[in-house]
Amino acid sequence: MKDFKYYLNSISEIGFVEEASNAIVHISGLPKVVTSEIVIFETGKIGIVLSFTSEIVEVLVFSKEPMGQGTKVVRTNEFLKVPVGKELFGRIIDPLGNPLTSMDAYKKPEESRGINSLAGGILSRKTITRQLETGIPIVDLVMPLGFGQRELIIGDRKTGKTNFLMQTILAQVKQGHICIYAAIGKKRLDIKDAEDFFKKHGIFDRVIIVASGFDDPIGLSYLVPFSAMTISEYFRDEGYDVLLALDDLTTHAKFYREISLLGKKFPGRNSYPGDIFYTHAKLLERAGNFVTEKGEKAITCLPVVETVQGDLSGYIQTNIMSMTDGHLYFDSDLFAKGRRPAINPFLSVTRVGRQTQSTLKRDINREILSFLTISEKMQNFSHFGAELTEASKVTLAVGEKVIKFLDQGPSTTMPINLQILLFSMLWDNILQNRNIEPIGADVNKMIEIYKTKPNVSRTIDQTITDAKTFNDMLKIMREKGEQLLTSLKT
Amino acid sequence: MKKNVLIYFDLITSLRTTQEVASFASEIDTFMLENTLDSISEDSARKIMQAFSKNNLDINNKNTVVSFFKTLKELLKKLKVIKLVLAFDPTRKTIENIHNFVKNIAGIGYILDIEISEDVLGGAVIIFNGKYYDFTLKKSIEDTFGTKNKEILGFMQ
Repeated sequence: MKDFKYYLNSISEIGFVEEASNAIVHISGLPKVVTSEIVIFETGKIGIVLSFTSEIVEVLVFSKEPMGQGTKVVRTNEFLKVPVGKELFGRIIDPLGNPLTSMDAYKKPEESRGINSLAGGILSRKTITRQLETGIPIVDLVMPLGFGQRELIIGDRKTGKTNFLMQTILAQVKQGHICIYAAIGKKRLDIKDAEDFFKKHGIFDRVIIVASGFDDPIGLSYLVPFSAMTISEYFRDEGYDVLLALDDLTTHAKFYREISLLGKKFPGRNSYPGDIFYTHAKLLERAGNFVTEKGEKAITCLPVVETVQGDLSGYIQTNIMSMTDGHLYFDSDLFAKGRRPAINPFLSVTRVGRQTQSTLKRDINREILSFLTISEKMQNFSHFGAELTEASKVTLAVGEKVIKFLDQGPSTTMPINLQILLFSMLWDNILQNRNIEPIGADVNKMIEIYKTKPNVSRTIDQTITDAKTFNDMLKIMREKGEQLLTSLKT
Repeated sequence: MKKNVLIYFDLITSLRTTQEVASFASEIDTFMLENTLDSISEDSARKIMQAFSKNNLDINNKNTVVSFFKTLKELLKKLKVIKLVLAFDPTRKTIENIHNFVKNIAGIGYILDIEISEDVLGGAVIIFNGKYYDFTLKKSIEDTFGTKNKEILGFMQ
């Protein structure tokens, strides 16, 4: 982008700041300005045109410094673009592509894309058929996700939502996909934590963080998810499957509310502007499973929304629930009980995830869900102090094991075939007979062996391919279970 | 309606710059407050007297006076501003000439906002309705050095 003087001489249009209120500036002049056009102030700051009348142009400024009345402004005939390219891997950038931390040898990519592109139409989309592996059993087996699915991550603060995103990103990068983490209005420390996590696991070279701090100009924070989506679209068109995490849209909605109120837009419910639904819908609509020149490629989007005291009926919460293909509810009660991730399977929904599953996985899914329901009921019943039958005691014991199996450490990811195998072993009492806990060091060792020994993983994968149903799987377990377990232990 | 506007013609055409308009508007406020022509400048008082007598308006009738000045102030707000950036401080005669030039081309209802900036060296920058026209000596020199760089170097050698 050129400077103020260049645009003044080449476009020959000028405007003057008439009124400024925080991030919103009203300008007179600029007769041929259009919405979403970039304007440059004589101080070098830039802004984007939100709306205009015959007299006044309303501009959103990407700067915290106050604009003086009478400051000159020029239009640029250019629209907001974000630089895109592989140079962004392992970088933390603001939504305009500028580095947020001091990064050695950062070269801004030469290619750039418009931030506000339209979502692809129905003809460019394809049914979701591929399962997205998160490496977390409760999601992969109980609430499966598909490539191109938009799954809302919802829950109170401090219930492990960001941890879940980190784990999913870790699993996805290890499978060769690209992940973009959009941190909207986050604390600098949280952004640094995310960076450290990616660096610690050696995956930062396949991750891009688009971030804005909580003290950054509100205009920048508003742009973060749109910018991250644009970068995702670039990599999708380059032939990659992309996972985009938007952390979080409640904060984004609050920033948009602030901008709208400053712009004197009429406030609606909870003072949010009338077009808050449109703003989020046009963003999430850009994700999905697409047919591209390079084959079927997906942008899987995981928007995060925060609830207050578990209230799922809030305005933004219900808005985004209705735009997404399901939600994973992070329950603060389960979190307090020590469940990690604290996903409540009874209050979570996945609308397209199950269609990606094979018969075996669907069988397991049904089995776990119905068992968890029974086990939950029985647990409630046992609280009354009633004397339990032997069968009930067994159910409770297995339930405890299953819940343990569904628990997972913050940086562990378990391949889906290993999840199926271990669950089948648990169901067939093979693990219990050998006194193996379905969590912790025992499981971590098995994951390590599965990942490092190709002959073991090949055998397991083949076993799972051979089993068409869960009954088949249990039959195989009875025949070869002990042997498979031994191969995983040594 | 047309007659209403015409009664202000002389007053409006006598104002040429934003400073004159601002000072006249403040004199109107003073007159409205103190209710006597002695409170404002002799020149403005004369102009107001002339406007009232020419249009057969009673200056002692408070309602007529209030209505007259209310409309006048609204008309002053609607005047279109042509901003000029000049390298020198123009004399009254120069301002009058420029204003007459504008009046001949575009008609009445325009005033000049003159800014003095020695940076432009000569000529003028004209800003009107959001359009920016740079007819300064500074720009000519920059353009010349930008486009005829080689020729100038050759000439100097």
